Amino acid sequence: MSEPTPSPDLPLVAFDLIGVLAEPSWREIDRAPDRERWHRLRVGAIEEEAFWDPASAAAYRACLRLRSDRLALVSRLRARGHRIALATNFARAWLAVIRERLGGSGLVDHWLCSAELGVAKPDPGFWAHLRALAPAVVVVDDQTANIAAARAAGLTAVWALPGADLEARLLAAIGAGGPQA
Amino acid sequence: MRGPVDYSPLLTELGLTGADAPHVLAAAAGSHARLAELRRALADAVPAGCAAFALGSLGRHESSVLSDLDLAVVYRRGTLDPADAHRAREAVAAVLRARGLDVADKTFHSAVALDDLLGDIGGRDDCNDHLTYRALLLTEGAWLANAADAAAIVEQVFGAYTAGAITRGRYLTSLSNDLHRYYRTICVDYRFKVENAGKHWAIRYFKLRHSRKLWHLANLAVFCRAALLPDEARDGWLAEHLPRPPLLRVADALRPLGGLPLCAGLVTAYDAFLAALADADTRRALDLLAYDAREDSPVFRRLRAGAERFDEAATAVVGHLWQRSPDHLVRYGLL
Repeated sequence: MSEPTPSPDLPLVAFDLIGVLAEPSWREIDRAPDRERWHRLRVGAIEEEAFWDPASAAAYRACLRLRSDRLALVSRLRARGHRIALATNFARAWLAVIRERLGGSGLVDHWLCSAELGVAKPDPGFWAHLRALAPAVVVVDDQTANIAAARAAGLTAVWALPGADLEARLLAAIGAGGPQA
Repeated sequence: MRGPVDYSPLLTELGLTGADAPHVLAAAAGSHARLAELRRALADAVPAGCAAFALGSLGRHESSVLSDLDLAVVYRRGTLDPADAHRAREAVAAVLRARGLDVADKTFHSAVALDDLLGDIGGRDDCNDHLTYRALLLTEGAWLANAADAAAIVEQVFGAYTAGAITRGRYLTSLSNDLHRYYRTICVDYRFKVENAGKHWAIRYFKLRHSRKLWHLANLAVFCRAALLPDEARDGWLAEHLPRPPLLRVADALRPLGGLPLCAGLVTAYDAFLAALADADTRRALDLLAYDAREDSPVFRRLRAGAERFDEAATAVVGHLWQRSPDHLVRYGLL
């Protein structure tokens, strides 16, 4: 099957990673999570070696998995011609794991990682990077604070809440071009 | 819950300190540390299409080192062969037992297929075990292995109720009724376990009067609160709040209803219960206690007095819900 050609006329769909496309959060395998250190790691102010010990680093890589149901959704969106972005608050070192796991799937056109950008969601500076990629962007995120911030920045945002039909809500948002609850 | 459950903001709101609820705090911190450690140990334990969960006190972040572990392994038939799922369940149980955990084999003795849990809700083949899995996955299911499939599975369980086009009800009563049904089932199950199956009565009795009751109260409270939300916000709010520990669920519901101070009595009474369950001598005394000798037992009398304090606090919460959300409480919680 030939690779679909993304259309610049269609909205770019930007997926959050943890909580939307992959699990778990680092906090779920850390016995005593240090949020202050995380805030430095996620904007690239420190590297993973300064964040936690090698055993934790290895354990997180072993636990980190992509959600097959959500990858199937991404695949369908690409087949419709949408460009796909990954827009995540994540460590540089962990992003490499995700890139490797996605391999040559070609599912992701743009990778926006807070540690590489030096700014994290919900900071307006993060959304500015997304806005620069396309005139219309639809953000999919599981954090209500990020949804509110994305909308405040003029983007369309879809909350990936558990149990709801994410695909239906996303298609409605793409079709209407307006915000979805 | 992504990280450790943080009760500190609630305690501050209630005018309490850590000294008023040391066992609630210790159980939350200990449960998170236990979950983190087990997740590391089980990182490669189950294949794709299958997930392992801790239900019960560990899933509620209320466990102590003395708690047993209700292990649930759920898989997708079609993605994974049943025999492979059962082998995965055995492998997970072996890892947990090797770490000294008491893995109960009762309801959760084998891997269960997700479509069996969801294919006949309320129907002839919808057995108590399936009801148990659904209710506990939604309200106290903490993943142990394969977080990605675990999240998708829980979403699908919740989605089974929200997608019921005719039966879901405006207030998602198909789900609230199932949770009520589970609570009544375990209350009657106590009778069977003790009278017919020869199980010991005392710890079960006090769990019914504390943790089971709090679980039920928390469900009543969140559905009363959710009923007052705009229709389009209700499912999301329920999905977000149902997995939270019961004390926080009650607080989440009462805060916007002006009843938050009523949580103080619940927290302190529940703390005394968790203190008892975390104490080996108390557990031993309850395990050895004959029903006819209960009035002679200081442990029994102390825990019963605590249960009465807990009842008073719970009654005050119900009284507040009666004042602030009477239509929902009566029509959907009681009648």
